[in-house]
Amino acid sequence: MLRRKLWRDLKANYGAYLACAGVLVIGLMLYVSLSVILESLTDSRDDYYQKYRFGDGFARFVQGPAGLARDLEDIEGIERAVGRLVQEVMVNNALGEATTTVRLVSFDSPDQPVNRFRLESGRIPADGSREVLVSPAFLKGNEYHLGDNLPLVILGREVNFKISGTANSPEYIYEIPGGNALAPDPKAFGVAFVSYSTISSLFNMQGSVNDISFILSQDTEFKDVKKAVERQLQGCGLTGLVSREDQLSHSMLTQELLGLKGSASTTPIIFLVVASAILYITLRRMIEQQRGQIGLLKAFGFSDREIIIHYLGYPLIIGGFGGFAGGLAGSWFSFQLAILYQQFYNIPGLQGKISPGYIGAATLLSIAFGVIAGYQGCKRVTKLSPAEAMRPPAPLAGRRIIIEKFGILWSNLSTRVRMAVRNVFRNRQRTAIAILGVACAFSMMVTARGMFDSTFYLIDFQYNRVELYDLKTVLRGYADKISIVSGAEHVDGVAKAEPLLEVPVTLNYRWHKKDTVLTGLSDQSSLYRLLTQDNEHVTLPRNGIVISTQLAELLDVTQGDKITVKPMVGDLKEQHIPVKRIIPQYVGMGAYMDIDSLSALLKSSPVASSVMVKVEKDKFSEVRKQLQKGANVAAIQDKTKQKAQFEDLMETSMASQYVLLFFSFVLGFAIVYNVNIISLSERERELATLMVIGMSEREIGRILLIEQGLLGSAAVLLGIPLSYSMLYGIAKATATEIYNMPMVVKPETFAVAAAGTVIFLLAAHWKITRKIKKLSMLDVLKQQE
Amino acid sequence: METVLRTSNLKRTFFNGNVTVQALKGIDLEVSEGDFVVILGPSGSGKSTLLNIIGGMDVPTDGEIIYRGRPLQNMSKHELTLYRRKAVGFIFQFYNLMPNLTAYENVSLVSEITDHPLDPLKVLEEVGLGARSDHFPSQLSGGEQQRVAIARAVAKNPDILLCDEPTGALDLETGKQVLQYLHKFNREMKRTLIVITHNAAISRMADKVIHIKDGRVAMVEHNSQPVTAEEVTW
Ligand SMILES: Nc1ncnc2c1ncn2[C@@H]1O[C@H](COP(=O)(O)OP(=O)(O)OP(=O)(O)O)[C@@H](O)[C@H]1O
Ligand SMILES: [Mg+2]
Repeated sequence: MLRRKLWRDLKANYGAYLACAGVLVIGLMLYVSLSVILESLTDSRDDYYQKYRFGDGFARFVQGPAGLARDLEDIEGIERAVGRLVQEVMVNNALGEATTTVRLVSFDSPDQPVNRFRLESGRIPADGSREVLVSPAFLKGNEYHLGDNLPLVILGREVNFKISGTANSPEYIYEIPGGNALAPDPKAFGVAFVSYSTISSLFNMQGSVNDISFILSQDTEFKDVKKAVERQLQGCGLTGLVSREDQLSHSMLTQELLGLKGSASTTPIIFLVVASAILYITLRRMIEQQRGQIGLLKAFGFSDREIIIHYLGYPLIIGGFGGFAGGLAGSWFSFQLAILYQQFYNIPGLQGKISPGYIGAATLLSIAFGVIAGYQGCKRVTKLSPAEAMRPPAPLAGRRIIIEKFGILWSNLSTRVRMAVRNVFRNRQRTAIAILGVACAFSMMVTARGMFDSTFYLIDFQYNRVELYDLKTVLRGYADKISIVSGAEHVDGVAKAEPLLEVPVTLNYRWHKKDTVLTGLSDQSSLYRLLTQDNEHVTLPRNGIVISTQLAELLDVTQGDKITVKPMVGDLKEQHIPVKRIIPQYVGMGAYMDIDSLSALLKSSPVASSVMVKVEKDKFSEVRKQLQKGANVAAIQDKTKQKAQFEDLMETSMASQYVLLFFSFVLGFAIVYNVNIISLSERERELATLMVIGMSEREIGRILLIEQGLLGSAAVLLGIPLSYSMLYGIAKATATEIYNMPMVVKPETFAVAAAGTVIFLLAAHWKITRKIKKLSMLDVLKQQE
Repeated sequence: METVLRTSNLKRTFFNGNVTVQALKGIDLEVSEGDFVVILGPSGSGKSTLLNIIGGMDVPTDGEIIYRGRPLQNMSKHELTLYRRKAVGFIFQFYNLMPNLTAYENVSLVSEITDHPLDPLKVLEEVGLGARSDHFPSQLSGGEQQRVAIARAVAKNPDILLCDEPTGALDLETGKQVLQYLHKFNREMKRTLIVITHNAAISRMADKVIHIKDGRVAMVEHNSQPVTAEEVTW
C-alpha cells in the first residue's frame, strides 16, 4: 500500500524530482567521465613509460664524447644511460620558406635501454640512411605521407630525408619545443627520430653526443645523483639537467592530470550537494504536507522506522536513477573526452570506457547523498505523536524583518513589494539554499567564461605587449652581438632588429634554488618589453636583475635582495646580483638582465643567442628566406603564427564553455524551480485569496517575480566573490613553471552569467506562473485552514 | 431601488470524473441596491456555490447572472478579475489573511489596487482595531482577524459585500460584533450586503431572506422591520 503511495507521490511531484535527478545526472556524468579519463591517462602513461623505458633524468650539454653515457652508468644509483644527439633543424617547404622546426633525436637501436620510441607505422630507418620517423601528429598536421620527402636545412644546406614511418616516444607525449610554446602545433614543431650515424655525420659530430638520459636504480632519487652527474658533465657545457618531474612533456601532463583530478573531485560535488539540498527541502515539505497521513499511519500502528523507510524510498529511487543514468552518460562522455585528449597528447591506450566500477560508484554515491539528505529531511517524522501529526501544523507567524529598520525606505514600498520581501525571508533555510544554489550556478558560468578571458588576456599580454617582434632567429650557440644585429638590419624588409641572449643559469637565494633561463636584453629593448603591473615599461638596470613574480616567490626574494647567479655555460663562476625589480609574468619563470652585463657575466664580449626582428609589411617571406640562410640559424620563430595558433586552439576549446554554461543553467533552474514549487504549495491559499480580492494572475506573478529578483540579486552579489575564489583555485591548481593563468574576468562575462541567471530564473518563474494559472480559487479556499 | 443583481435559471453542475453533482438547479433571484440579504439553507444545499458565482469566483454552467446590466456568465477571465476587484468584497468563514502582512498592510493591499478605496487606517478604526493595525494575524484573536478581513473587504469600497458564514468560527459575542460592523457598512454606506448563514436568528436583521434547498430557491421572505445586531438573540 505504501509502495503505491510512493509512486503516486512521485508522479504528483514529478517536476521537482526530475529537476533533482537532472542535476544528479550531470554531476555523476562529470564524475564518471573525468574519472575514467583520469584513470586511462594515468594507466596508459605509466604503462607507456615503463614499456618504453622513459628516463628519470635528462641532461643537455654542448658536446661531449659518446663514452660519457658509460661513465654515467658507473655512478652509484644510475642504472642505464643513453647518449644522443639532439638537433633542431628547419624544414624547407615548397615555397622555400622554413616555417617548421623539427627536433632530430638520434637513436642507437630501437631497443636502446632508455627512451625508446614506439613505432606506429612504416619501418625503422636503416643505420646511416637518410630516413626519419616522425610523430603521427606531425605527419597528419603537415599532410605528409609515408615515403614523402622531408627537406631539412642542415648547417645552411638542404638535405632531403625520406619519411619511413611514424613513431612516438614517452618523452614527447606533449609535443612542444619549450620556450613560449604552450600547446602542440604540428605545423610549427615536431619530433623526428634518426639513426645516430646519419645525424652525427651530417653535423660533423661523429663520436659525440649532446644529450644523455638515464634511468635510476630502484630506491635512488634524482637528487642523490645530481651532483655526480654535474661533475661528470663538467666541461661539456651543461645547459640543462632535469629530473623526470621537470621534463617538459611529463610536467605538462602531470599538471593536466592534477587539474583533471581537481575537476573530477570538486565539480561533481557541487552538483551532488545541490541535488541533495533539493531533495532535502522537497522531502521536508512533503512531510509537512502529509502530517495527517503520517499521523494516520502511526495510528494504524506503523512504526517510525517503517515510515522513515517509506520516505527514504524517494531519495533511493531518485538517487539510484540519477546515479545510474549519470554513470551511463558519463561512460558515453568519456569517449568524447578521450577524442579531445588524443588531440593534445600522443599517448597510446588512451580511451573512454564503460566502467561498471565507476557506474556502480556513481550510483552508490548518489544514493548515499540522497539518503543522507532525505533522512535529514524526514527525521522529524519520529517527533510527531499520532495525535499531533493529525492536527494541522501551527499557522505561520508573520514577523518583521531586518530591512524594516530602515524606516523611510520600507515605508515607501508598496504593500505588494513588502509582501514579496517578507516572503523571501519567510523560510530562511530554504532561501539560503536557493541563494547558494543560484550563486553556484552563476559562479560556474563566470568561471567557464572567465578561464577564457584570462587566457585571452595572457595571449594579448604576451604577444601584443611583451613580445613585439615578428620573427625570432634562434642561433646555434652564441654570436657577436653587434655583427649579428647589423647583419639582420641589413636584410631588405627588416624594419628593426634587436639582440637577445638566453643563458641557462642556476639561481640561488639562501636555501632556495632554481634552474632557469636568464634573458639578456638591450637596455632600450623595444621588441621585447618588460612591463610592470601598471603596464609601465621597465628599463633594465646596468647591474641588477629583474625577475618574475613566480620566480621571486619560488626563491622567496624581495626587491633589493642579492641572489646568486651561476651560469651553466661559459665561465661557471657565481656572482651575487641584486634584484632590482619584480614584474608580473604569465609565461615562463623569467629572469632578465642587461645583455652586455650578462655577456660580461660569461666573461665574454657582447654576444647574442637570438635576433628579434620587426618586419616591414608584406616582406615576411623574403625576410624569412634571407634570415634562414645564416649558417648558424637553428630556427626561425614566427610570433604571429604562434599567436594565431594559440588563439585557434582557444577558439576550438570554447565549446567546452558552452557545455559548462548549459550545466550551470540546468543546476540553477533545478534549484529555483524546486524552491518555487515548494513555496507555491505552501502558499496556495494566500495566492487564491489574492485572486479573490481581485488581483490578476499577472499581478500575482509580478509579486513572485519581485521575490525572484531579490533572490537572484543576492545570489549574484554572493556569486561574484565566489567566482573569483573558484578562478583563483583553478589558477593555483593549474599554475606551472611554464604557464600561470592571470585572473581576469571581463565585465561581459559577468554580464553573460547574470543574463544566464536571469534567464533560468525567468524560465523557472514561467513554469510557476503556469501552475498559478491552473490554481483553482474554489478548490483551494474550500479546504479548511 | 435599482436592481444590483439578478439571476435567472442559474445552474451549476460539477463534473468529477464520472460523478456529476447538480449544486444549483435553476436559481432565480433579485437583489436591490442597499439590501441586506441573508441566504439560509441546509448544508450542501448550494449556498456557497451560489455566492461564489455572485462573487465572480466561479461561472455558472447555465442560466444568467446580471450585475448592473452586465452578464457575468459572458465575461472573460480578465473581466471577471476586474469585477472581483472593483465590485465585490468577500469575507470567508476562515479569514484568509496574508500571514506575513500586518493588519494595516492586509487592508492597504486591496486599497492599492482599487480606484476609490477608503482610508485603511480609518476602516480599521471603524472595526475597533486602530490600535492593533501593526499586528500580524498570528498576533490577533479569531474575532480580531475576522474584523481585519471585514476591513479588508470594506476598504475597497465595494458595491456588494459577500460573506460566507462570517460568524461560523466565532463565539456569540464576537459574532455579534462582526455582524454589527457588517450591518453598519450596509446601512451607513448604503452598500448591498449578502450573508450566508446557518443561523436563522441573523435573518431577523435582513431586509430579505432567501431560503435555498437542494439547489433551488425554496422561499423568499421580505422583512419590513429588520432588527439591529444587539437585538438578535441566538
Ligand atoms: N468543486 C466541487 N466539486 C464537486 N462537487 C461540489 C463542488 N463544490 C460543491 N460541490 C457540491 O455541491 C453541493 C453544494 O455545495 P455548497 O458548498 O454550495 O453547499 P453549502 O450550501 O455551502 O453547504 P454548507 O452549508 O455545508 O457550506 C454539495 O453537494 C457539494 O458536495
Ligand atoms: Mg458553504
